[in-house]
Amino acid sequence: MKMLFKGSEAIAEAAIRAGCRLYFGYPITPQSELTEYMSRRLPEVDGTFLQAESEVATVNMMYGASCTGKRVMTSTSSPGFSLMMEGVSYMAGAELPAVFVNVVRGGPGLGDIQPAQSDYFQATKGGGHGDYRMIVLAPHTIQESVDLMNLAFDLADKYRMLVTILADGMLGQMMEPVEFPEMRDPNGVPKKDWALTGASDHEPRKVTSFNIDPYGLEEMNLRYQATYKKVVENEIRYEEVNTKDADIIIAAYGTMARIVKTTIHLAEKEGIKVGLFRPITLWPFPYKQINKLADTVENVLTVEMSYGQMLEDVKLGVNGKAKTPFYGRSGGVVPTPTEVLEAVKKVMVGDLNG
Amino acid sequence: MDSTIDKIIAKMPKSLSGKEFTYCPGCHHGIVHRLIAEVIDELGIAGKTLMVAPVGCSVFAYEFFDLDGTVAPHGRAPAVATGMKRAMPDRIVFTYQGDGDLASIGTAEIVHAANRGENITTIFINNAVYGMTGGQMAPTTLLGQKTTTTPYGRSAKANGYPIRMSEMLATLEGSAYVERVMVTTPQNVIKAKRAIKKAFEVQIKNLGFSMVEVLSTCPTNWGLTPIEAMKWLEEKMTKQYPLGIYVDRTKEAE
Amino acid sequence: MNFLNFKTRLFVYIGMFGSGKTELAINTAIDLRKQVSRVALVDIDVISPYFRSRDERKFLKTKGIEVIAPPGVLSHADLPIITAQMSGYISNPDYFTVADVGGNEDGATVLGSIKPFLDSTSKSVFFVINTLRPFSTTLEEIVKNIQKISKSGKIKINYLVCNTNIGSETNGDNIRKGEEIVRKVSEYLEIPVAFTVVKDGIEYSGKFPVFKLKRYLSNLW
Ligand SMILES: Cc1ncc(C[n+]2csc(CCOP(=O)(O)OP(=O)(O)O)c2C)c(N)n1
Ligand code: SF4
Repeated sequence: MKMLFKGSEAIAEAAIRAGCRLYFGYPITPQSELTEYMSRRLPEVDGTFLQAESEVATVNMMYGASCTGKRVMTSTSSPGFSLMMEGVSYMAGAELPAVFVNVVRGGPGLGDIQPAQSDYFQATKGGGHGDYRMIVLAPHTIQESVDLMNLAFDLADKYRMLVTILADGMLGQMMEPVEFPEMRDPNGVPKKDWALTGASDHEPRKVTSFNIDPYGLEEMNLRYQATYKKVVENEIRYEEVNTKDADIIIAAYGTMARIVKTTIHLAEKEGIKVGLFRPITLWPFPYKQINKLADTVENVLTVEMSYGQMLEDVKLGVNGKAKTPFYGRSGGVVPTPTEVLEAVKKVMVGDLNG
Repeated sequence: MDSTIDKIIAKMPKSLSGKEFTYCPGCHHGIVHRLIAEVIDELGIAGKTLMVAPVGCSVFAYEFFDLDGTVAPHGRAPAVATGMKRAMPDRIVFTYQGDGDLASIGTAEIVHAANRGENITTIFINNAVYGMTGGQMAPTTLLGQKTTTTPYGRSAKANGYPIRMSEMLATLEGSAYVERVMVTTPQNVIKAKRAIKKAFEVQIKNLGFSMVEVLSTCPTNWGLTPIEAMKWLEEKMTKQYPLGIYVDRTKEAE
Repeated sequence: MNFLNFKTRLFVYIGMFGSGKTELAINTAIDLRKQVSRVALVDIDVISPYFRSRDERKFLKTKGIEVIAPPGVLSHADLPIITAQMSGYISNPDYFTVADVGGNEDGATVLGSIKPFLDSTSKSVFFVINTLRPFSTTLEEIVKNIQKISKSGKIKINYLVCNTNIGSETNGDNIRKGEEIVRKVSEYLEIPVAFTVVKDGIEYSGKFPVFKLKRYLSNLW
């Protein structure tokens, strides 16, 4: 049965369906509905909700909970995600699975509470210290957010990695009809042979990101890298819309991609064929796939609710095969379908170059 | 080390892994480790105890104990322990933290864990200095005490006052048991062990947050011999940090 | 819908989070304005960061409706701002006023702060129900919500409104099932159902009077 859900609520319910019974978080607009939903819903399913004293504490509570092998998550918005970076790095180093939801708002600093995509670098290129990666998933509808939540927990467990759902205020706040998957049994999720559960039935286990011996630490790093390589080989996801015989390709993700889908229709009416390349995994980024597409067009226009962050990955992917112009607005201002169409036209007449 | 103390703690507790301690001669970290391990043995909880080590000289503590364990980011052990305990409420979870860890960078985490009455146990090593990083000022450094970042001695005007964590945490209603001890004499060691045992028992009975603060020596960074360090602790530190039970709400809770 | 039939000049919409209060409030204001000359829409939603009446201020102005909300740039702050002006409009006998209150107990709590003004005015308080929203799908859940919200808002509810929908994909069957649940709630709590909301474009007639709703809140695509 379809129901009407707000993006934030839908993500929360989807996490519960995915077998997550542990939520730690600290309120922040525009995602507090997710926190509030969890506080109402988790007790109904014998789960644990805890409002932490800060995002610093939140991420460390996740660290502890994840050590026990159970599924755990949090949600936050940009300033909170920044505070979590310390724990993110420690968890990545300790190979602890967990799911983060960052409902991005305008920045930097306190910024505002309107939607933005300006945390792309932070999510995909680091943010915390050390040579680590997180899987970053970018849904563009509420239904897709729901579907990706199951995947997020599965990927986190499978690779012992952190997974971030990079949403934005628009996705978090709007309402759409959604259908949820069946409830998964939290005890049915795979048992972890590394989890700290008390050394009664196993040799004492240690889970840390720590190794004082540089060769030992290098070895740990090589192990992380081997995992990341597998993820790159197996987990890239993306969507192509209207790309065959397109006059121009737009690269966009999340809410921005959704707006571009409307632009495609507007453009069609004016006889312009716009194709959309939408990365669903922002890390690993679909470099090869966009590289192939670049063979077919003169321009790959990147459109963002930020100032050229994904653009850098698009350029790496396109690798000089096509021009890579850019259009973006940020600070909480969302480009309209018409504005994007204007940018397309400018690119086509050579007024907007990359 | 004092030979009488040696005798009391001569037998290697089962909950220690047997890995050689990395502590300096005369450092109290090792004694406290043994006491914790003995208590865990006596309570028969080794198979269900999770330990959270800090960042500090005792960063390797998770290796020294024969228990499931991890290392928290600097100061965050109470939050990590909270996550563990909430995920597995029937396990015993304890943190081991220094004064830089607990009383400086980690004040928010310890205050809120205590205030929530988080059912965990914290062993707090107060040695009035940052050991690991080379003897810098800690929030617990005494007034006038010289450290590598207070070369003229700690001044109240510039650095504020030595912070009394046990007294502070005792005011929080979530704290079920808070006691300050030291391990300078056999009698003290026996008292300290009793306090540690009580703290774990509080957790076993689900009564709330428990903490034992142990005044400890750091001969290396104090620049004193182990014997002198012990004397300095007894004479100077106990003045600022009097021993005793600061709160015991176990009767009300039970 | 002829809102003058309710014989009051203040219309208060409360309900669960996301139950559709804002759209209803806007539609009500526009409908009222067709019959009376002075209509104000008071946005006292202190908890929703986006999609609020105040975001449609300009559009509503063209329809001759005054939107009373925190001024200018503050309307984008996530601050719970209630201006003195709001209570002013509520007690002004020259105006027909529609109040859009934030969702859940949290959103309704603010009503307590303007209680003296509310009490001095004759009003119709509508509780909006969408049975296809989380925590609102059964008789038990809805009854509990109504009790909690009327308690935290310190306000008595006069009418129920059936607003069962799943947005663009709503069909008559959804609405019929919604009406069935709302009818049970109505019988249980002895609060009458004022009307059922039906989006423009859907053909529906059922148990209760129908209020045809136009979508005014802007969508970016
Ligand atoms: C975020 C962060 N800042 C600083 C450090 C460096 N650091 C490591 S241990 C320590 C202080 C340790 O002192 P204390 O907690 O008193 O423990 P001790 O070494 O005295 O046992 C500091 C500042 C760190 N590891 N992480
Ligand atoms: S530096 Fe101080 S605290 Fe650290 S091991 Fe040596 S004596 Fe102990």
